[in-house]
Amino acid sequence: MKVFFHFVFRNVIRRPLRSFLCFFIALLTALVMIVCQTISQRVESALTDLEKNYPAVATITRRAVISPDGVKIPSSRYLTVDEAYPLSQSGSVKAWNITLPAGSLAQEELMGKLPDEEFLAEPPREVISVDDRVSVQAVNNLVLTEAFYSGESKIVEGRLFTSEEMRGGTRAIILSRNTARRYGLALGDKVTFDFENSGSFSLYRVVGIYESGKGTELCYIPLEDYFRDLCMLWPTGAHLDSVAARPDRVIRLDFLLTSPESGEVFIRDAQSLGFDLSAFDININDGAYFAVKDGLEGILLLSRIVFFSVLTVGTVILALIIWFFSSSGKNERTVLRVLGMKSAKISAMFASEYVLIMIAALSAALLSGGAVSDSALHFVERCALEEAVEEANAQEDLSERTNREIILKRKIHLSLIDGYEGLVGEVHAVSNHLEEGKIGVRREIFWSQSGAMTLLGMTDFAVDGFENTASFERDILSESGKLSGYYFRCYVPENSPYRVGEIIPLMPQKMGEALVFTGDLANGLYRGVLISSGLVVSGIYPPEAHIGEEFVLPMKELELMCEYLSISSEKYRSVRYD
Amino acid sequence: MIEVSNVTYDYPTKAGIVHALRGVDLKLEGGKLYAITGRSGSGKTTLLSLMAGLDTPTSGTVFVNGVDLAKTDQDRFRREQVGMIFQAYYLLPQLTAAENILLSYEIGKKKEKPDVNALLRAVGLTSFHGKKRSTQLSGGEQQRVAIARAIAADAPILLADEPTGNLDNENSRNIIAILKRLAHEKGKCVVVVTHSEEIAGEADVRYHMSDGRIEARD
Repeated sequence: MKVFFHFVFRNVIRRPLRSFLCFFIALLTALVMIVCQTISQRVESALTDLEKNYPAVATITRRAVISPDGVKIPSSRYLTVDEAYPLSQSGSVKAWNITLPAGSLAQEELMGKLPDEEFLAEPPREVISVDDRVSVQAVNNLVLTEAFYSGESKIVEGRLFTSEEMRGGTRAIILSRNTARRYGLALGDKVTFDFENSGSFSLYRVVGIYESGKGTELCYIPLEDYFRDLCMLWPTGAHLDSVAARPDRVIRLDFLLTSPESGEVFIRDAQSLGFDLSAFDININDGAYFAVKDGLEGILLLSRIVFFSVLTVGTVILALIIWFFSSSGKNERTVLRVLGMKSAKISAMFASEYVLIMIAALSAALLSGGAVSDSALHFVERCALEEAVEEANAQEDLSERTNREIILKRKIHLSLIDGYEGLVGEVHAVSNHLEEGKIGVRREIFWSQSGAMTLLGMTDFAVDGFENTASFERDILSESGKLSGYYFRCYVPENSPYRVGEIIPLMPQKMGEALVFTGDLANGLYRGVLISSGLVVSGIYPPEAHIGEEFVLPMKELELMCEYLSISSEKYRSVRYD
Repeated sequence: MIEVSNVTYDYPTKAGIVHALRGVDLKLEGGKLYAITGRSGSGKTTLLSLMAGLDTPTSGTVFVNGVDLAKTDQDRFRREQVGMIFQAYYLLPQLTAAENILLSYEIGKKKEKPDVNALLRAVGLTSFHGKKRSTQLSGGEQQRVAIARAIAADAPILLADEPTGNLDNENSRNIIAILKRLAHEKGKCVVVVTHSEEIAGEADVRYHMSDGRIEARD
């Protein structure tokens, strides 16, 4: 064996032309193949990432008609949440978002829902109000929120919402660790939020605490709970008109699709559900995806063609070189045979020479392959991919400029080199919608009022009842409308901080039921029962000495209120004017 | 030492079967220089190949020291019993003259390494020639190296196929002198296939072949 390898090595070294040619061709072939394979793998990985991460959104808007003078007139028909809901159950939908115009309410049947009896019967062990440092967001899938999806936020205690909780009614909440610490809350504790201007409280049980890498302090509640508990408490439009029940008017629906490829499935589902496609437009924002995908597939195809071409050509050239030198080595074979070497051994020796050269070439290719591949990837990325991505992003910019109402702009970042991250998709809500209604679309986030729900500062005021305004000889300066539901009209003096349409949480003097922490404006602790009712400022009257700065309300309203709150007029401090 | 008994050798070609040997009988002994002459295609080289165990006869037997060559390990036979010299020298161009000489030692796994310088001297060369690649040597020098390689195997039989075919007269005479000396002094059985009457004249025994048969012995 020693002699065998001695012969092999000696021949490889002593026949430099043959060795070099074989080595060079094999190295070149292997190197190109490694580069092509690396590019193919990266591109395939990028394609997978692109499909997985690309935020394809199907947007449904009212169909607009362009008038002869070029004015865009949207259809008078509005979408409703009821129409949207079946579509949200399509297998191609991962999440959905709604944009409502300002002041809209959910449908009438949602209006009258009150906290259940248990809620009223069992005051919370601990109650907290939401101050301006806390924001609450209603989600339909917490895991898919940007913070959790990206790994920035992680549950550290408790759990995510269960499917039962997501169906609503159980009132679960997940807090950030900072919020929990600040309020001394732990798993199982109950939290009550008082929503701005609504005068209502809702009780939620802490089921999970998360930690955020960015120090986010969002609180999450299930979307269904939002629908059930909070939609009715949306009279934030500051006009009594807006409090009146009327159908919800959705101006825009966004469905986050499971993959960009599922756009057609979504449209088919919409059609099969009888969605009126003559009145509404469905725009699927997948143009950028397909533009980049086409670019990537082009690179993939090219790299595969080069791979197989080089493999074929390299193999043929190597075979020719081996054939040439083998025929010229016939004499050597004769000599070795004459000297008594077995034919099989001679063949094995010759083969080993080529195997040795191939191993050396392959090793060199593997060693240098990484560096060459990186250079090639940079080149491919600069010359081909960047162009495709830029083109796709430019298309997005163009679409945004031409159709601001529809497009959810996304910026694609795609790299073959840096860690196969593939794509970081961003969906930006069109800003004018956010500004317009102060409710807008974010990924996985539904309505939020100015991004936070803040406790209204409560004033220790007295409420008086009266039969008619003439009885205290003062004119009501303004009156916007009538109320329905569990809100009671009141009138405030002109110099009070309240304006028409604002809601004042109702705080009857029934003490000891619960401890309520109020926000900054409240300036202290209050004791009282939890209620889901309030006074809506219905009018303003000029101040008068004998009335002072009391709030007044019609006697019938006062009686209704006392009945609702199960309190007798004796326990309620009131002054009757006849 | 070598006995060729009624050996025939046929091989197929496109034109039909060629009868290269047609019942050859020979007896060769050690210590003598044999010459086999004849025209091209008379079967001289074929006979040499059969005696070297590079091929097997179509019929008949080649005995070496009484053993049927067809029934022995022919590779081992060549390693241990035969040294061969060719008209085209068949030196490996990638090796030096010394390395070419040592090939038989390396392949034959012999215990004792031959003295290359002594072998070079024996064929009229110096150690200076030993360091040169075979391609850097003249034809005569290359043939001497080939003879040295054959001698290095220390085999009792030396078969030479036109060893002087590419050499001038002086070099041819020198080569034949070496072969003669090996036969007479070392007791080897040296068989030379040649066209040259002059060289054949130097042989102890001379055979003439024609049309695949031994026609005459001098």
